[in-house]
Amino acid sequence: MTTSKNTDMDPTAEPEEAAIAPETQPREVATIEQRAAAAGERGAAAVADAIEQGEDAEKAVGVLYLGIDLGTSRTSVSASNGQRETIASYVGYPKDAVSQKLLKKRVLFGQEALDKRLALNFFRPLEHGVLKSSEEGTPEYEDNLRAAKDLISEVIRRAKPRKDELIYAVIGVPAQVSINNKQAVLDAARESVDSVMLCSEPFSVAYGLDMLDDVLVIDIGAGTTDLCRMHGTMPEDADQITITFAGDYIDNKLAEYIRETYPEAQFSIEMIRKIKERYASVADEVDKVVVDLPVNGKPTSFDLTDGLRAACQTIVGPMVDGLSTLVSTFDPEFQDRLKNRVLLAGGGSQIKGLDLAIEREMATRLGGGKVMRCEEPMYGGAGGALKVAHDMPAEFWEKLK
Amino acid sequence: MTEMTTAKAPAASALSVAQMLHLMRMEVDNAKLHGYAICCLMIGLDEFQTQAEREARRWLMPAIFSELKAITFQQHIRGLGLTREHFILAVFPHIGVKQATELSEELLAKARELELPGITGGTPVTISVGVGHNSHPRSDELETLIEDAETGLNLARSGGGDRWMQWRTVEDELEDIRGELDEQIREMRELGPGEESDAVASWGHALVRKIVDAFAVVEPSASLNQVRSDVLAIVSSEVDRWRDLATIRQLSEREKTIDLLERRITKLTGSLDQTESELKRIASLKAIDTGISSIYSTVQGLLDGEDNTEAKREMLKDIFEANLALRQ
Repeated sequence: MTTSKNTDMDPTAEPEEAAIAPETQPREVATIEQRAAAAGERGAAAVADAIEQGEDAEKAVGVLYLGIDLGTSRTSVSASNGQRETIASYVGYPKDAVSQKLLKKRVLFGQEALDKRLALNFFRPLEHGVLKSSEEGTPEYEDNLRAAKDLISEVIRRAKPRKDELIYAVIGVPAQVSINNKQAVLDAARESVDSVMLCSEPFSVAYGLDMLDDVLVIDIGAGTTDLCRMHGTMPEDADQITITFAGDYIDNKLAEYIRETYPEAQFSIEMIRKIKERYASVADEVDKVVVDLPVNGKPTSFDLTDGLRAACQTIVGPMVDGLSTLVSTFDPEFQDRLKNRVLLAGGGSQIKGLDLAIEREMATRLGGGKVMRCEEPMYGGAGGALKVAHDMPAEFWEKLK
Repeated sequence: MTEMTTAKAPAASALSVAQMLHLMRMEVDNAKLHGYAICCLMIGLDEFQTQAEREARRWLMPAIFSELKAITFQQHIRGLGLTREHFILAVFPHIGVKQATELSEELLAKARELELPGITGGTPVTISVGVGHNSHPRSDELETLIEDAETGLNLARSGGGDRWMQWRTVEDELEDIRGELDEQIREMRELGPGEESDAVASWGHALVRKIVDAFAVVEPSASLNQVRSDVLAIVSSEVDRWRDLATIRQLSEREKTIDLLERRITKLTGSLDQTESELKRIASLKAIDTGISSIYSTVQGLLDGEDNTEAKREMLKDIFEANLALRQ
């Protein structure tokens, strides 16, 4: 009998665990009695039936709000049932029926898809924060659209909606995304929710933190960095700038550095991403970043301290360029206030010392400025989108069904 | 426990899983092309839920695989197999259903004898085996065979484990039970009015007619008419009595038949219900998550008392209008 033994198919760890309830929680229509009173006689009867059916059937119907941050690297969801989830934006489909049988899944997501990508048709459906494609109608476009749809369905599934609930979702997209791409994201989401709206990612971050006046939001993602000027009204095109100096740009710069400095080192872009996520810093004083990379199959230590810092530093200049543009085109009377309320959000804001580096650059080019960090960079966009969804009037949702 | 089991775990093969599956597929395709029998076994350990048991699986699966190799080696059976953490998959060409089930029985017996020091702690190891075979017309592809074997494995486990199960056989049995039930119901419906009592009545009428005919050839007289009337009355009365007796006898027999059929129907219906509920239970294992309720039962909206209510209302309206424009 010929044998084959392979044990590397263990399910990998799931992404970060669900954490705290969203900020919008306090406004619950709290008690069953209140619900009954609000819903009238028919509602009261329904609630009475629900009580008889026990805890699980506490209500016959409900409204589940979802805030989704659809990112190039990670997709996060915050839900009004307290669920919060983040998954890496990877989607994989088994290459054939036998792979599907062995993997026991029709489609794999996140880290699991990444780990088993050799047995999968593997997709990272978003690029620069929007659907990756050459042009609409091409097989590549269709494949990425399908992957994006499945990714959105998966994050919604991970929010654990009940089947009898209405699902209203707000999805954050990069500030200056094209209409076609917005349409594609809407198409992808519509299959999984009852009603959906898109809103600008940096706006949703600001809305979630209730910082709507004279604030400059910098949302650093993997594909794009969005800069948005908030001044008490809905930001217009002139208030928003999207640049591609973001996480992926740093990865490519670091990869270039390694290729030039240590040509013998072997690595993949995923390995580079992990190194960046663990050690990224632009601070003056940092511990040495020494990592093991294979050289002809043998793990060898390399010092990446300078290379990583230089790669991370490359996004500071373009960001301050964007800041300068938004500040200089603002009402002169309020420019100082705007400079002193710069808010860093998104996964890229976790680079150590980034706030101070931006402040230094602003001091040189704008004569000063103050940078704050978002407390929860991973969920800033999703939490804000959830708050937008919650505050949106019922008639608006109805009209967009 | 065979020597194979006591030996160290098998070394990793030079073939990858994909290569092994390719070979299996070729073998199944050949079986289809040349019309020979081929079976697929999926073997899994029963009740390995705890962390310690899951650790033990890493050791036990190779041991069971070794047992399978030893059995097939002794019986000169050639095959292809691969082990995973949760199951063993094996394909055996030129093996009929009977031989496949005998192989499964033998493997079950060998597994019961397994005891790895410090791992099973004296608890007997049991396995379940799912059997797929190309004797079924719909099972002529590798995917279908694996699917049949997997369903068989799940059925065997849900039936308490330590057994083999061939899904297609279960499916066929289910079909047979359904067919038999339909037949019984049809038979009961077809039971019409009593034939025996009708025969007695018809015979009685013929007899009366013969008596009337016999008296017709004789010269009529008052006494003869009286005798004829008496004879006819006696014959009619006897025929009626016989007919009643026949009806009673027939009813009794039918009651017995109906009772018998009803008991069979009850039994078959119970069996069918049990099988179907078991199938439903297995199917439902994959979708038991009912979700978590939202904290909201109604649509919320912006509250009047909030900071910047008017500004927010305008912003939300702008977002809505932008989305509405996008739809249009």
